[in-house]
Amino acid sequence: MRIVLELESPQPLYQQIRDQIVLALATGELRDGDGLPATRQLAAEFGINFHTVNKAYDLLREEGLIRLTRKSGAVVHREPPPPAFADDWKQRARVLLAEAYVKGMSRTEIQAACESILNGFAADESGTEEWS
Amino acid sequence: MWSWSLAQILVLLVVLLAAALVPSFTQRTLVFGVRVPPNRLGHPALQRARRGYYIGLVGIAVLAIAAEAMVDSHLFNDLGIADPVILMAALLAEFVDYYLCHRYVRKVKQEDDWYAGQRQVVIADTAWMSGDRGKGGVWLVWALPSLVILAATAVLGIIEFPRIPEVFPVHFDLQGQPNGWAHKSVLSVFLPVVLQLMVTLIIGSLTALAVRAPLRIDASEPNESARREWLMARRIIQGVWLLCACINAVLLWINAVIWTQAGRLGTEVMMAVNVIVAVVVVAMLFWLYITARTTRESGGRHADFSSSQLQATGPQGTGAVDSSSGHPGRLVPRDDDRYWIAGVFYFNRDDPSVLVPKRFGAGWTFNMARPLAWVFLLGILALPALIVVVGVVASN
Repeated sequence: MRIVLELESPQPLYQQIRDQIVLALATGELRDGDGLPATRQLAAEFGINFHTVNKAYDLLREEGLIRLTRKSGAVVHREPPPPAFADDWKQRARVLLAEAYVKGMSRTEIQAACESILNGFAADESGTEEWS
Repeated sequence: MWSWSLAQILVLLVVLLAAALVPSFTQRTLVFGVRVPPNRLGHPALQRARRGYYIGLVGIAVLAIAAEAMVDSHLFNDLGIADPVILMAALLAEFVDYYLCHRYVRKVKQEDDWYAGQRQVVIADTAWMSGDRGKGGVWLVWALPSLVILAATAVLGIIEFPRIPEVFPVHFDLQGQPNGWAHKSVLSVFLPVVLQLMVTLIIGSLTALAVRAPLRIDASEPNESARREWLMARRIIQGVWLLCACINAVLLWINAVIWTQAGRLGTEVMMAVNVIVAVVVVAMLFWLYITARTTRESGGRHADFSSSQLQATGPQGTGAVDSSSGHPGRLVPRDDDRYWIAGVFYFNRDDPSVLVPKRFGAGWTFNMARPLAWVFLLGILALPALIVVVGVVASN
């Protein structure tokens, strides 16, 4: 996978790294058991401070998406979501959809956009089904 | 001697040829050590800078050859310092020539604010990091000739050791006449082997770092630039190992003559050594030039990628980018000029890399903000000093 960081962006770099890894998980480009580069290595590739990459990995670990081990570094490992997850996520989705709504996008447009985004995600849902 | 000043002129021409080829080795978005966004690559100021650079090089060549011809007919040359002085002056003049072009491009870039409104990005390819680069061990095949020659020299030394006389020549003048002798000891006999070992170790550890050095992917042509940079990196590493094998072979050859004949080296041998080194350096230059040319041509002159095009090459390519700024725009390599002193010396405390790709020329340079870089620099500088010290100790 290719991670693209925009340096002048108002969004912090660690957030950009975290978001792109989440997207790669959704599209199936990253799967359970896949390794991520070591923090220093990835930071060197970008020419940025390795604490930035550390912060992104810590965030992903707290979210239960990767596991950090001393031996094999960062490995994709999806854990079942905590009970409050769905409610939290709905709150954030609500704001995001509201942004489109107040700008005058129609219900069908918004629905079509959601549909097409979901279609871009991996068809293989075996990993998520066992939690539902 | 006429033949020696001719050799010196050839050395000067090779040095100037290398300087003339350097702009073609470099990434297209780097012009005289200044980061230029892709949409400004056709700017007339860049053409002007290039023309000025080549005119400067021709001027330096004319002056250096004239100086060479002058000292040739002068007693001054008997001291043997004229040639190195002219060579150093030519190298310094080359740098000044480069620096003037660098300053000019930087000035135009700042005045016109070339990066205004451009979306600067850095890219990492994680599949490549754990894939192709992870197979760095494959390139050790190229180290094999150096290691075999090193082992052969050690074996030859052990076989010949009993037959080497108590006092044997260790230093030769340019005509190959011995002018320094040493008493036989394990240290004095095996010093050249130690030398080979040190050269091989330094080159080995530098190539190990170079393989791990970051790949600078140009966002405006991500696939081509990644392929090109990695190919250039491999070519340079292969070339450096061949150069190391040549150094080791020359040392083996000299030792074979010293150890088995215990006598003079002869003018032919000295000439041959110089010719071999010159041929290898010129061959490497052309190898790199051809690599740079062919990869650039096959890469083609791509139009600027928009973020949506980049997204098409990787499913989630620029998700974060899109959500942050909202408007699609051209992605361009980051303007990293602030970390480069004079466009050639890298100093970035945040960057954990020790070696990074050079900005003017082929290969890598040290991140001066990393202590390990200074360890390497001292090691490289200490090697010749160590040779002199041990040589003096061994001959006393």
